[in-house]
Amino acid sequence: MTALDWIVLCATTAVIVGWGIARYRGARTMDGYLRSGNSLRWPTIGLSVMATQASAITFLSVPGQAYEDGMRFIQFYFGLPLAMIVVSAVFVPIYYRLKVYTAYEYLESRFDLKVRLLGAGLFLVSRGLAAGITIYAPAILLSAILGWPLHLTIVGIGVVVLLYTVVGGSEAVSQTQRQQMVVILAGMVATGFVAFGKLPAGVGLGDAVSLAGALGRVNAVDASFTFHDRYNLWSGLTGGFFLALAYFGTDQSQVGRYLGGKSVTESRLGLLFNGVFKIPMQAAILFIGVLVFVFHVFVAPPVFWNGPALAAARASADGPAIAVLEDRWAGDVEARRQAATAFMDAEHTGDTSAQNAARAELTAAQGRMDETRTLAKAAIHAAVPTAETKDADYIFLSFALANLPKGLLGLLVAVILAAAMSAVSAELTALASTATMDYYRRLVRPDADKRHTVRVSRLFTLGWGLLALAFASFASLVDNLIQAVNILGSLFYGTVLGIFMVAFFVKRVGATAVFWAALVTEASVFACFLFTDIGYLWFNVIGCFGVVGLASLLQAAGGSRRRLNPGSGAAG
Amino acid sequence: MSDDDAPVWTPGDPLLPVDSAPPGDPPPPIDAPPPFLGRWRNVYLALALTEATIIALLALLTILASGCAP
Repeated sequence: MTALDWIVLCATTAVIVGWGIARYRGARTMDGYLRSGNSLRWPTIGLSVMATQASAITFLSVPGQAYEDGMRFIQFYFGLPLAMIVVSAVFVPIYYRLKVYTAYEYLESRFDLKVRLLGAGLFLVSRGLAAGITIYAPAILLSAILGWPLHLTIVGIGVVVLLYTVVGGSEAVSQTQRQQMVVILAGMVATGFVAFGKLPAGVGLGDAVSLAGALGRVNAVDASFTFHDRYNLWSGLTGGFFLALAYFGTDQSQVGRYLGGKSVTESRLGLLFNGVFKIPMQAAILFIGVLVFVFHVFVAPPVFWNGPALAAARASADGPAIAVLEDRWAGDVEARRQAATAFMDAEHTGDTSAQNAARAELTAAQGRMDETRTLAKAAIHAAVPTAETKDADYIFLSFALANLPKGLLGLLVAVILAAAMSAVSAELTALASTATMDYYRRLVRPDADKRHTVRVSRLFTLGWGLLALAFASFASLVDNLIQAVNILGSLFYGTVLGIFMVAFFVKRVGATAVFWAALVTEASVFACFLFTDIGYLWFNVIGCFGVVGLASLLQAAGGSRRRLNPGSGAAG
Repeated sequence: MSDDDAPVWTPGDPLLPVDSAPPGDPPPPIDAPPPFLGRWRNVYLALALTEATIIALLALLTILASGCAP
């Protein structure tokens, strides 16, 4: 990075962190620290909700996903707007009416303590692990840019995030997320223009889309249906709906954002804002990945994106074998470039038969490249068994480092750091709120005054932050970060959502039935994950319907209605 | 007449004075449920339609870019 990049990076980060700390270090009340003092307006809530979900992983991993697999990942978000409608209509009024600090408090008023603790516990496990992955993504970036060891950058990011989360609490997180989201959007728009501007002369936007389409990268909607396929229209609309419903309706990191709203109306508008803009934003980020792909049709990409791992393999005893594969790769890349040029020439002249022939050659060249890359990955793994061989998350990073102009690289790094800070701090605040309100204040010190509660929340924030740092050390084991974090969520979300669905809509089911149904269903979801190849989005559907169905059966079999609390059903 | 001057309602009185009831439709029963989703219904409908439009546009882009357009 140049001096200008460093200036942009340091100034942007210092302004956001400093502003958050200076303005909200006085957040000493329980309401202010845990629920933003119920002061937030809908634009802040909307941007805060988006920033919480859009972590650094989004900006590092999603373009890489598009580069490798095309735009079909967008289908993952198709259920989100519908989920926003349900959360807005059903969940928000109930939480407001009961004046809860965490979503799980509601479970005790509807069922009993053990169901509340189970819901809170499932959240703590899943979100605690995910926070580690969220810290890991920007650490990769800083490690690559600064050349520092990865564990050092993990600690560095963790310290910055912890500092202002512990000091400022929920209100600082929500308010700084607004600035962070503005920086994030500005940075991504600028990067998109640069990626487009880097295409060779004569390659317009239409050519780029045609070329990417011919190579299967503009596969945004796939209407075919299989359970094994992770992303298609149907898994997105159903599995994605249940995942989003669980995430926005029951995950405290999101519930905490909109519970800070000034009123039900402000919270609803904030959520609907997210429903409108989420799919276009993700489509734009995926499209940046597609542009990077088209750029590398004309500018040779490396056979392996993780530069340090490739260098280590070259320097190993297997170096000659790697060199042979790199030569073969160079030939494949040149063949694809020639086929792409022929394809575009045919398109410009309107020669359909020539275009079809070029399309076939293009596809064949891409197939040979994929084959060579698979061989290279295996060779690198054999040469350096300890090297990380998952490289999709390095694709966008490599492009940015090599191609962004002075200053913009600094802004992009600031974007990714801002995204990391907003997501991690929201997660830590939610973990601390849940641990404090659902466990400590409920089980250990029910008589704790508000000042003591805030102090304990700060300590829990610190504790969860340190645990997240420890988990981050294991994140290098996963294939693709954006998928890993969503698979992790899907393992737990369906069950938690099922508990809430029973609470809202199946009034005759009591606490014991839903408790055992949730435990059995959670075990079943894990069994599906370990022993079947069902696409992970379906776990959310299986978990939700499993709890609802099994709890209803258990209740019917038991015939007991003793735990009913008829006054706390769903409300519109 | 200010609100303070209004006659005090007591059990047994009609819910609205006969001469102040709007002409036409009878007043709804006092415990009638609110309309489905209330005043937010049109907002939710607009969001659902926006999403359907975005998905349709993405599907069109997919078809055109794949070269399978008629």
